[in-house]
Amino acid sequence: MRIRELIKTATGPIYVISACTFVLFVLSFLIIKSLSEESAGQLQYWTMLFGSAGVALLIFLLIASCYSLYRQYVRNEIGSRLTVKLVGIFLFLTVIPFSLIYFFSIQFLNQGVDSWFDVRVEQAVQDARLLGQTSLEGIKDEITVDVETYAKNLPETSDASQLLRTLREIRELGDFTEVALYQDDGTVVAFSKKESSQMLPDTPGDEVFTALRISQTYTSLEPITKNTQQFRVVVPIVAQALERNFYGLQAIKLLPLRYATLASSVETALNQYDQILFARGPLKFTLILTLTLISLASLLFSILTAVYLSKRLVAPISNLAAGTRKIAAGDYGTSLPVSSNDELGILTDSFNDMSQKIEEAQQVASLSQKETEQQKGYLEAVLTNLSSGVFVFNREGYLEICNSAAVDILGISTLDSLGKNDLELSQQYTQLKQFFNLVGEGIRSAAPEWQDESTVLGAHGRQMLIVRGTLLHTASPNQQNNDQTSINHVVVFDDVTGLIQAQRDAAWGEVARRLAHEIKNPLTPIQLSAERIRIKLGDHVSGESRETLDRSTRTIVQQVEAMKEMVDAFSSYAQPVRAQLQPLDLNQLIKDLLELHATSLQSIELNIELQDDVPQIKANASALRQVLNNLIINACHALEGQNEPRLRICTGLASKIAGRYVDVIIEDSGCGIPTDIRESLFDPYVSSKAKGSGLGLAIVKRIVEEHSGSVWARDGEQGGTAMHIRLPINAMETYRGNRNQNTLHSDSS
Amino acid sequence: MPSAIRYYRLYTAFFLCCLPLYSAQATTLADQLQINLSNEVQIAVNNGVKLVFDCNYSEHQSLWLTSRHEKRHHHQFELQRHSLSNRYVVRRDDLETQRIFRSMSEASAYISTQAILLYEFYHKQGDTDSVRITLNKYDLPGPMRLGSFLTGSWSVDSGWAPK
Repeated sequence: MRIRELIKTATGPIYVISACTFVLFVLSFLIIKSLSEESAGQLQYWTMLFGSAGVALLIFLLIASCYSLYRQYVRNEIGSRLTVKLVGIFLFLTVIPFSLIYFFSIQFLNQGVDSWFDVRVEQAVQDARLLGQTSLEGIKDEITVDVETYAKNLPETSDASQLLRTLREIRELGDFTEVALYQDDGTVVAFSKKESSQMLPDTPGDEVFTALRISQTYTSLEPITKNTQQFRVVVPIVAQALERNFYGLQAIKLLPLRYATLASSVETALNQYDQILFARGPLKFTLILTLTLISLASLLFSILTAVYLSKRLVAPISNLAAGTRKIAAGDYGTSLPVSSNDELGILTDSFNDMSQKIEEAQQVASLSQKETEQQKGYLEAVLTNLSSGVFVFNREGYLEICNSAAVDILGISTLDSLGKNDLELSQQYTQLKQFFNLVGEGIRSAAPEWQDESTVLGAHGRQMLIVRGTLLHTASPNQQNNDQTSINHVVVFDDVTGLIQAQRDAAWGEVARRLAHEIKNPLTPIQLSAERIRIKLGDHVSGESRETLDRSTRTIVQQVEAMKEMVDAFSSYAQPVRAQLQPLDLNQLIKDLLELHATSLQSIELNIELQDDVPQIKANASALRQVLNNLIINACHALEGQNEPRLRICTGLASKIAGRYVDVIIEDSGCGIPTDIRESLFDPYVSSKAKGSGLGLAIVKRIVEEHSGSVWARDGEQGGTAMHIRLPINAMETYRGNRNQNTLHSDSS
Repeated sequence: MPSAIRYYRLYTAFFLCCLPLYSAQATTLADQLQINLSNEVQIAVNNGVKLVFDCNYSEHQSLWLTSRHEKRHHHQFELQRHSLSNRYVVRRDDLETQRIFRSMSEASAYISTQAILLYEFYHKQGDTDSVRITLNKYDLPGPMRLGSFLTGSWSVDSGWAPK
């Protein structure tokens, strides 16, 4: 892994670019060196080859980079557009100056090279060439004249020794290095050489003999070595001697050293100048090609560096953009690497701080949300398990919150109730009209706190509710101004029916107990005393005194009995109805009672309307029997003396109210209820009859209320009185706190 | 291995089949070593550029499917124009004297002849069976080297002869 990391680090862009820079400089140095040294041919070749390969590599890298950048741009990757802009700017800043420099460099190069070849210098060289050639021609002409003279004076002889002597004399006279006589076929006839060590003459070429055959003199200047030159003069001889017709006299003479040195120098200079002159074009081409190679390499290197620097410069910005997108997508806590100490590094560092703080804030918010949810769940649990009903109305008066206790107490539907105001709810639940009107009045009063009572016919019968309302100021999250708060109305109501009933029972029971104790106790001694007086004094008095005594003691005993009955009756009235609700067939109970009162009802026209759909109700049978019995008896008493006594008894299911109720109506055609006692008809000791304890209707009312029902009287359609009893089908145990709110949810029968 | 042997047999068969054609086209050693200079090269020579011809003498060695020429001897011939005398001078690296020719073709023919003579000499010694004449571009004047590398007119190479 370390090796891989090292390789990856070593091949990083910065190192590659540094290596390319170094190679570029070395390449330039080598090219210049190869151009300046004559012996650097192979160096120049390999330098140009590697340079070209390097340029090709740079072009490949540039194309790859551009293609990669293009793909990033097409895919709209973060940072690609900015990179392209920066690369474009760098290109603009690089290519134009480069182009200008390259163009002017080419111009300067051409002009510079051309300036080396001054016309005057070229003319001087040509003149020197001509001068040298002319002077050498002059020397050659002189030698030619001498050789021609010698050729003319060459005696015609067939003696070889004489010929050799003649040639030697010619050689010595003319200071030739060699004199030779040739036949036209190239055969050497005789020769004389200055160097005796050389055995053979310097045979001329075929062109010499060609000239001889046409009788032309052949002359030439021949370089022997670098600094040695010789004249070769071959003169044709036409002689008939020696049995041949054509001959050639060749004379070879070295150019004097002084002239040879000068000629060699001139020759070298001429060659060099001719070479340079000829190489002007190739020189320009080479220089331009080298300039192009180096410029191209430099330009490509600059562009690659521009691409790399652009990417490097944009990388932090791209990271920031990517990090911003992550945060926007919800990936909080994104941390970016800080790779520099400049402004971008500061920006990246700030971004990391911001991201961390956002993450912390998000965690705090999440915790707060959890706490809020926990609090909400706690509140919901409290509201759910609260025995009191809770309504929360918003500032517009619409119901927002309704707990389960409220649903149970009032027998309403949460879904049908939420979002409605008190008026709508009172219209929807007519049996609860009084309650919702009360609530509406409390809300509209805008009092910080209010309290009232309300009696409703709930799901389980008549209920007495204590209603309390208060204003709740809460901060609304939807408000732009955090100072504004919303005002909600919280209405809490409790069903105190059982409590009141228990209080009433307790009060009546206490009264009854006290009555029983305080009143009933002295009655017995009074009665006993009166009887004792009668017994003791009865034998001692007679006549009128005895009658008075008997009448008085009898009166005392009767009144004591009456008082006892009154106390017993009151005790019975005050006695709470014990629970033990059992299913009761109400129709059957009525039939049984009618049968019981058959005798007293013989003269009465009965109208019995007992609905078959009346279900069994949960009630105390003996208590209800007492109720119905009292009402029937009261009806019979009211029909006494009537011409057409009619009695109507009907049962049926109560409609238009929530919950399930059974109505029992006992209507007579009597004289009706006197107006003076109409309001207190069901109070104890209120009666329109001369006789009676006055507790009958009070007991009826009490028993019915113990069954969570209600009883009221109204004028009958037949002119008499109609006693209306409404009993719940599933009355709850209301005796002395047996009421259990939880059973409201399970009581669904 | 069997595939390599098959390939060698195919190569040998192909060579033997082409041998008659090749033999028909086979030229003498002199023809193979004939130096043909392009116009550009001739102009350069006439303008004073010195040409250096490398004559390499080697022994051909075959090793399985590969062959190589083991260089044994090397000679250089310089061809240059003598502007004062309007002659072409040929110098051999191991001789002080030089030969003068009136034309470039005669000079280049002389080089070929000399190369053949030296080949025959070394061949008789038994360590040489191939000769090759090439124009040394590295010894050209600096400005002309690059052009000689890039253009084909400066490529003078007889190849290993005899083929």
